[in-house]
Amino acid sequence: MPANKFNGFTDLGIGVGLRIPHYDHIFSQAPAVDWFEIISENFMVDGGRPLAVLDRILEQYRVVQHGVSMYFGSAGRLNREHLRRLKSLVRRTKTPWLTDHLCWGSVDGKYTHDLLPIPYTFEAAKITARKIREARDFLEVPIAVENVSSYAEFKMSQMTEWEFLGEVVERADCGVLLDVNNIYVSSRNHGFDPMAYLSAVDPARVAQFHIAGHSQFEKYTLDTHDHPVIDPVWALYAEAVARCGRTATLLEWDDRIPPFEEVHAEARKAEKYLPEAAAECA
Amino acid sequence: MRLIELQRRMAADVMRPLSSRAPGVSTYLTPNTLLTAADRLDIYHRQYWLRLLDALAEDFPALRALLGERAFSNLSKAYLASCPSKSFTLRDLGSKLPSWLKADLGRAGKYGALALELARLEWAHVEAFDAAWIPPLDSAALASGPDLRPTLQPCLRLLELSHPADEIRLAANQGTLRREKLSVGTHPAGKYFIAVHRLDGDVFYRRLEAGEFQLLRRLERGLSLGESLAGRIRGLNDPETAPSKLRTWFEAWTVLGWLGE
Repeated sequence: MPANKFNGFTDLGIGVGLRIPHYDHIFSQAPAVDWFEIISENFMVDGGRPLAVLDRILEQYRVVQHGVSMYFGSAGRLNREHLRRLKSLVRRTKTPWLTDHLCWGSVDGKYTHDLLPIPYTFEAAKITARKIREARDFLEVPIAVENVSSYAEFKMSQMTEWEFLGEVVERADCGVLLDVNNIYVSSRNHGFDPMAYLSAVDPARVAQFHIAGHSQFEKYTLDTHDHPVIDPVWALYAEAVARCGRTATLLEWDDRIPPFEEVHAEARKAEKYLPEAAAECA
Repeated sequence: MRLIELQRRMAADVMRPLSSRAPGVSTYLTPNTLLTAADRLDIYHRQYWLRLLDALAEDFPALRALLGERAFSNLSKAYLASCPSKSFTLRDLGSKLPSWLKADLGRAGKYGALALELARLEWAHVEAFDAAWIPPLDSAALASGPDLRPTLQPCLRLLELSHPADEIRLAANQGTLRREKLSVGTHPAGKYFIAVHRLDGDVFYRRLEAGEFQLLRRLERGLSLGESLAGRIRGLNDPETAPSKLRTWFEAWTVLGWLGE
């Protein structure tokens, strides 16, 4: 849905990730960008340049927060210090919704700093959903969880990834940040039909899309965010838009980052899919 | 297997030392047509080490230049094995490196003491970069009397070192650090009082006089201006020059915003 309770009833359009190599261009040229996505953890500090930059961005642009370390799928409790700092940032940015990954990454207080896949079990779904609810209640902002790229599958899984995603978001009553590149990457690594995944996602819960590039190696596909979006991912995106309608879309480009204009132009390619989808929904 | 048990097992396998094996991965991961269960786990294992080693290298460029790529990488691996990350943010990854090195200077080989001081300076740099900034006191407020208890800026770090770590860091940043010359006096050992501080978003190093450092340390401990100035302060022995020197120090601190409310 274009605007729903999971994205704060907004229709932000097409955004790009705010990255350090682009700061000078953004501040000197003030490009017309619908919105920026920030990595929350980069700004959960007490002061200095990160917050000064963020405040300048907030003067001119809408910002949506995207986290990488909440680890809803970790079996342990939520980190209260993390939540406290995150809430402070939420108040600063006034992000209409907040996203993080459907993954785990810490255990017994030790952090891997990675987005590790969750075994698709009912126990994991219950724990993950409870933590999403707790975070949303504390942060007082809608939360959407992102499907991750994965390279491993668990023997103990009791359902498919898309069934697990549905189980979690229904239990948590939260939104979905649907990363179509991640669906593609995981489908290559695990041999499933990406359209089957897409058709199983409840369109009413989709708060945002991610698109990105990846790298193909001899024996696996890696989610590297260092290339343009490939045609099969655009095809998935077109299908996702057709199902969900005009929804906030964000291009991720995190490594070997080209000039801002190039990144923005790649993101704007999404525009050609959106009006058709809007017409279909109408 | 419960979720917590699986995650303990997988985290141990992901974070295991590089080049070691992880037996039994196939008990919890499945293979696919191209990769064994262990191969699939190793994608995460390699990513873990790449990410964390890169983060340490970024935060400790001078230590890396001093030790050389291989020695720094080995040191980082040993550090991470001993002090795995316990913070949600990679920003904190190197927080224990100075104390870990101090516990055994041999970990840095022949550069032990210098390596420790570089680690202290570079960690202070990380802290100064994004610490809070409090409203600074102006000269009028500072003149209010001896009972005033200024707070040092949270983004100011005071270091007493035996090596000119600031010069070495700058040389490393400029690519001019020559390890082979360190022992012949280009950066002589001695007493160095260094303030690591932030101004307009950038981190700087400022050499302090001994007495200036001593006085700032007293203020850092929460003493009032009057209490801080009581007793002997190096460089203020001469009653004729002491007032002007003191004025110079306070003027500089005021300009730099080091004393806050």
